[in-house]
Amino acid sequence: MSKIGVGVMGRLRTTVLAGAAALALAGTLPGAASAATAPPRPAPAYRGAEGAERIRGGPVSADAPLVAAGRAYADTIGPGERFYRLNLDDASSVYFSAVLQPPRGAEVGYGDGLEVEIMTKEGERCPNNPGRAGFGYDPVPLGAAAVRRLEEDAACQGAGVYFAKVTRTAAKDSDRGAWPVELLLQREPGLAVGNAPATAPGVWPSASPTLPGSEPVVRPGGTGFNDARALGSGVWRDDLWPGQTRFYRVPLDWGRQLGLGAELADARMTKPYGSAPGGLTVALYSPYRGLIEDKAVAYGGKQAGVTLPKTAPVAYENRFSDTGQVRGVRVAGWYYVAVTLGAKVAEFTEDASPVPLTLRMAVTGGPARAPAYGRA
Amino acid sequence: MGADDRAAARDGLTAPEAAEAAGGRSVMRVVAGAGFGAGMVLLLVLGGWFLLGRRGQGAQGPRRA
Repeated sequence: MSKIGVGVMGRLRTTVLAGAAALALAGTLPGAASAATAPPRPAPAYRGAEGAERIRGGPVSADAPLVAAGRAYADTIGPGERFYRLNLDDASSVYFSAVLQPPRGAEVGYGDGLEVEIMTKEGERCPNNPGRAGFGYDPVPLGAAAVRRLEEDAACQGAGVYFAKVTRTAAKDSDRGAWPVELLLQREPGLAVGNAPATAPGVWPSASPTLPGSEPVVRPGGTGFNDARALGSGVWRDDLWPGQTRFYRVPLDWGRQLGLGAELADARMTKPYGSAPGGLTVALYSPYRGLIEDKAVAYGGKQAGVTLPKTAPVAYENRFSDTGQVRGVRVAGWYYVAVTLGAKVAEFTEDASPVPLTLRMAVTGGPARAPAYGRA
Repeated sequence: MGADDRAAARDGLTAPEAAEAAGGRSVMRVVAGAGFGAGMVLLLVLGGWFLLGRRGQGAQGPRRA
C-alpha cells in the first residue's frame, strides 16, 4: 500500500471510529428522538373506537347478535329498539354502554334520548336499569349505560344468556334517520370476599368545590370517549364553536373527588343581544360511559359558567347508594367530561371566531384502599 | 389507575396518543438497546482494524534513501 493510501486509510479509520462512537452514544441518549407536536385542529366528527366491529342489532331478542366483553361495536339505530345478546358469567359485574352519535344539525327535542337496559332471557329487567340520557337543545354525542351488578341475593346473578336492549326515543318531528351508535361491554371482577351489599356512605364532603385560579394551559378536547383529552387538577383552555362538543377525561383513583367548573368568555357578537337556552352544557360520565350528572345554563355571548357539585369520593360501596350521582362514582378509572356550546350561539356570534372556554378542575380527597377484587 | 394513566393526565394525552407514546417508548428502548449493542460491536471491530493497520504501518519501518 502506498504512503498516501496508508495516510488516507488512517484518516478514514479515525473518522469511521468517531462516527461509530457517536452512533453508539446516540443509542444511549434517551432524548435522541423527540416527538413533533402537531398543531391543534378543529375537532372533526365523533371518532369511533379503534377496530370497532360492525354489528347489526336485532329488532327482536330472537335475532340479537352476540356482544363480547372488552370489544367495541359499531351499529346504527333509528327511533326504536335494538337487541344484543350477552353471555355473562356469575363472577363479574358488567356494564353495557351505548354512545349515540347524531349528525350535526339533526333535529332533536327534549323528550329525545337514549335508554339502555340489561334483561334476563325471561324478560325481566335487571336491578338498577335502565341507564338513560336525554338531549337538550343540541344533537350531541350521548352516552348511557346498563348494568348487571353483582350482589348477593339479588336478581340477575346467574351465568348465562342475557339481553341488552338499546332504545332510541324520538318525538314525531325529530330526526328519524338511523344514527351511528357505539357499543361496549365492560367487565368488573367481583370481590374476593363475596359480594354482599355494603352500606353506601351517607355523608361525604359535598360542598361546592374550591376551584383553582392558576394560569390556564391550552388543552384541546376530543370528539368523544375514544379521543378525550386527559386533564388533571388545574385550569385548562380550549375554544368551542357553536354546536360543538369537546370531550376530556380525568383519572380518579379510589377515594378521589372531582370538582369541575366550565366558563365561556365573551364572544364576538354580530348582534347587540343574543340568548341561547342551554348554550353551555357540561356532562360528567363514568368510566363505563354512564351519565353521572349534567348541567346547562343559557349563554348570551357574555361571560357564563357552570359548576358541577363535587362528586362523592370514588368508592366500591357507592354502587349501593340510593342517589344516582353517588352510584356513578363506583369504580376508579377515567371519568369523562363533555362540554357543549349550543348551536344557537351561531345566530349572534361571528362565524370565524370560536368562543373561549375555561375549565377549572380540582381532584381532591383520598387516596383510599382499592377493593379486594377477585380473579379477573 | 397506573403510572401510565397519571403520565397521560400530566401530559394531556388522548388515549390513542398515550398508546402511541407507550409504543414509541418501547420502540425507542429497543432501538436504543440495539443501537448501543451494534455500536459497541462496531467499535471493537473497527478498533481491531485500526490497531492492525497501525501495526502494519509500523512493520514497514523507515526506509533508507
